[in-house]
Amino acid sequence: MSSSEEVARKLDALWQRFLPTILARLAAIEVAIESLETGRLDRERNRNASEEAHKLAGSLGIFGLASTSAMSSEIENLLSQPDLAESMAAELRKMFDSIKREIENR
Amino acid sequence: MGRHSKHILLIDDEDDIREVAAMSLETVAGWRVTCARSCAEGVKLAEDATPDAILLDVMMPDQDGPQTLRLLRQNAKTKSIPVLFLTAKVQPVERQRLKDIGASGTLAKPFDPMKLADEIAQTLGW
Repeated sequence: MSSSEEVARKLDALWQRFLPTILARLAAIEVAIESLETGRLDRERNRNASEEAHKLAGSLGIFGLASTSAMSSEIENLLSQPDLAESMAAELRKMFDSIKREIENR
Repeated sequence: MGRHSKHILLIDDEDDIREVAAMSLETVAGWRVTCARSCAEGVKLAEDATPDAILLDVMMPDQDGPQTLRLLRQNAKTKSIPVLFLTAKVQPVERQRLKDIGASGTLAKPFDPMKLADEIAQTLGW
């Protein structure tokens, strides 16, 4: 087995192991988006969700989901804005759904 | 890769980042990796094990990467160990800031598990 095959095999095993952590991060982000969608802005929740998006970006990147990782960084940046408007909810939801799909399809 | 076996200390509070980085350095380069999840644990392990290099996360709760580096540099046993930061913020101004406080280099996070060992070796001239 070449080292790249071995790394890929071990990476798959680690992905399965850390999938619950990744899904928990995703859930924290969705809670913040839902709050925004229903007009219940919560800065503390957004800050926490932004931190989770930062961690999610790191996780997705090391598991080979580069573009999904970049999208998660974009969510991180949006959620960290103190003047985040409700009008951004649709864009956040679109990126969130795309990330979720990529995770499910990996 | 034509380099001798190395011992790397990895300090990062994220379990998945630690596990993937350790796996990649061990599998691709055959290096030995010791992991720590906090500044305090990392400084203690650096003192005890004197690794060839330290990979250090910038953003950590409690004491962050720059604070950890300061402690490593104040300690006679660890002050000469090369420290490479792992960070998502890889803009030139941030790289320079980390270099100014004593980092030997900055590696982008997320990293490619197949290339991480090469990036470390290249940065440190191994």
